[in-house]
Amino acid sequence: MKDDRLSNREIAQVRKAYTKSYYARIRQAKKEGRPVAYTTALGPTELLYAMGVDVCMPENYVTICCAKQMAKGFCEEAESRSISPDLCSYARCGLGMMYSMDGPMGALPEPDFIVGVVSACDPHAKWWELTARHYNVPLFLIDSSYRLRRKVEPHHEAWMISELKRLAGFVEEQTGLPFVEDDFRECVRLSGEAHATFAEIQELRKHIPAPRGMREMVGDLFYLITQAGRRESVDYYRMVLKETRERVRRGEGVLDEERVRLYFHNIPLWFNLQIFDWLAAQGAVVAMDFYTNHVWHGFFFDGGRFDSEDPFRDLARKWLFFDNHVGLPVKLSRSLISAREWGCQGAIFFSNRSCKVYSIGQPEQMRALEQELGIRSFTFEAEMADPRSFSMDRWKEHVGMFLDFLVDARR
Amino acid sequence: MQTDFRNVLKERHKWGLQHQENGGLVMGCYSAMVPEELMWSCGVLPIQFLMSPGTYGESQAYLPPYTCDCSKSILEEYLDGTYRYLDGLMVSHVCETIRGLAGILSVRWPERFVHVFTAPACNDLGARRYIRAELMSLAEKLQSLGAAPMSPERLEEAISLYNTNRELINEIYHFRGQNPGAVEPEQVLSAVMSAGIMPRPQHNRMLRELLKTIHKGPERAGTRIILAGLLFEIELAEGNNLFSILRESNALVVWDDLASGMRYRLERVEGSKGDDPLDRLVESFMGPQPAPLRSPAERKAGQLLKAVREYGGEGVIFLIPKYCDPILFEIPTLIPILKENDVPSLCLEVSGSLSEGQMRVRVEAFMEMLSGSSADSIWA
Ligand code: SF4
Ligand code: SF4
Repeated sequence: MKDDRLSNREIAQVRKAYTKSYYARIRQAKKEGRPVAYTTALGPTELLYAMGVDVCMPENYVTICCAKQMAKGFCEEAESRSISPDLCSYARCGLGMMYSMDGPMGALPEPDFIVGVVSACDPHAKWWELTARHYNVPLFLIDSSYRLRRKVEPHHEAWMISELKRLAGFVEEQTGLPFVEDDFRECVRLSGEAHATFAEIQELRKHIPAPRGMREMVGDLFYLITQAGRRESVDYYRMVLKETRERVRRGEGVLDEERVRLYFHNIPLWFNLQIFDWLAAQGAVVAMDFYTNHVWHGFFFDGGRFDSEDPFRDLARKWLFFDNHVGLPVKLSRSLISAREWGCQGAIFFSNRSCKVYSIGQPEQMRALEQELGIRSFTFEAEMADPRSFSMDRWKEHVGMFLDFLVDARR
Repeated sequence: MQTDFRNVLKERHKWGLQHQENGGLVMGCYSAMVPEELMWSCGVLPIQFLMSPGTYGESQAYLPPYTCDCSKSILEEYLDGTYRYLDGLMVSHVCETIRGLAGILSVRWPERFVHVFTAPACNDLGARRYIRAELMSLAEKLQSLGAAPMSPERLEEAISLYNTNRELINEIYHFRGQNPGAVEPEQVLSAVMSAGIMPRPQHNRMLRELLKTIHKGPERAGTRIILAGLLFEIELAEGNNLFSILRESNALVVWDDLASGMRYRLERVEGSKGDDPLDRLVESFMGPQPAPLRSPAERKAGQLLKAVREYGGEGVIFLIPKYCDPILFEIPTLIPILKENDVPSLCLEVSGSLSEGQMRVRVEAFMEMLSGSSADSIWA
């Protein structure tokens, strides 16, 4: 008798089906005249959903574009329109889709307004400025303070709260829909629950063998990014948590036998997630990674929870702890914790030409891993959404040697 | 008194070291969007990092190859001990690279004061309250480093001193715009950049002297151009090829919109005497900011067009530092807007592969195009 458990592959199918329906929902919203906002992957979906806005994230669409091997053409399209090839490949590919009115499931519907985040990174302000100009729609930029170290001063939090309230006012103006505090409270509660459940799944990756690797987790992230504040994200993570617990109970892992446990730093190569399959074929599992644990989830990774009774304060705290809003001392200590507590024996640092936020400071992190934990690192340079930047053959050759070195060192 | 500001740039550490000898603190800063008036009022001399392109050695072990020369140059001089004398570092959030650099410095020298200052992109009560609290918190931090406590009287004096400085610089810009042949562009730019490293009382005296020496002579004929983007300051002191090429092409710089020292020219700390000076300083930090990251490109286009109208600019040359994302992101907006307004432009990458020969060919081609006056753009 087949039991009703879902394999990692089947969970991925559930997610893919939902992703399709999510994009269909945005298109439908546009058709029916409901407000559609573009926002960055760090956008405050909780607030937008609470106010009846359908949220569209071109960055997420870029990742789908990469999976379907369409990114190169869109990057080239943008470059032919004076967008420098030195700029972030999310922005280039996203702008290329916009200019050519195309995409992996057709062109995205036009936005009614855009919410960017000037404090997050250069593209998160300037990409949206170009987009807003192209569609001739209003652009709202959220700002925030930046802390090199962990300490949050009261005025940092107060400003973040004020920015979220300013956004609520802007959305009211754009949509004519009122801000209802109870709706917002519920969306923030759902987001907190999704993050807390996600944290439990991440905890389970400490088991040997690891029940979920980076390839599975970057897929899971879709719900934390695009669906934060919606019931669907909580349901999905509960389902994944249940299945993952069961896998742990049965001793099932991504690999039955782990030769090496790795820590991976930076965004995955969206056009080549097969690198994780190749690693698995070599007996290596990415037991913990920076991307799923520190970027959106930083506040929760650091032990925070939504427990202040004030939804604005909770959301502000989540924001202040995005990896984009903290300095190298915090990034470095997070990498040390992740690598140590998830039992990693080696690290791969992807030096991402597209993303200065996550890549500057990597050498300091590599040094710290080696000096404090004896963990050696391998680094390579590419771009997460531009396949022209990466050669799989060369990568395999170099990583193969690195893995052999790690295994020999353990002997 | 000397009036050649290029000499000031050549002795760029002299002023900080003198200030320290007299018991003051010296803060290394990136971008003028930091509270210089507050620092000065507490006895701290803010000095801007001056950048030079070149071959970078040790910094390459810390910064990836796809970061700008500015960041590499600052780090290089930190690593080789040039900036050992600084009491701290304060950068403004003008790009991701500079925040990343601040992070590296705070990890490498944990005992040093490093601060990232954020001048809000927006302008509302929340931002105002934030900046007020941030300035007060900064004053406390400076005090713990040994600076004088904040006082309204001293802050009032500092604001007035810096405002005088802005007025004098504005006067030079205005004068040069109308008589571009009367003063060389290097002299004007060196004057602005020196503001970033000299104590303002001396700088003001030198500016007044400079103003006395430039007299309206007979108008020089030439093609009137505007420079925008970013220039490596140290090149001014040591002689920059661009300016000799411009001279030989009979180009007259009437205005510039270069990142260095923008706040010195554009933004006065306004308000009437008697108001709380801290409130006025807060107000001067309300968005949008002069830095490209923190203001829409349309605003910059408007400023360029205004200069074109006021000073008869015939074309714009953008100096674009390689890997400077905020500037790179602006170009696709600025060029079409200029074109729509019949203003041709030229984009020059100012670090990396462009040799003097290539620069000459491009600038000369651009100047020829300007004489044919078709509103087009050239990418170099
Ligand atoms: S990849 Fe990095 S630079 Fe690009 S949008 Fe994301 S955070 Fe910003
Ligand atoms: S040149 Fe551009 S990228 Fe480099 S530090 Fe300056 S503003 Fe930042």
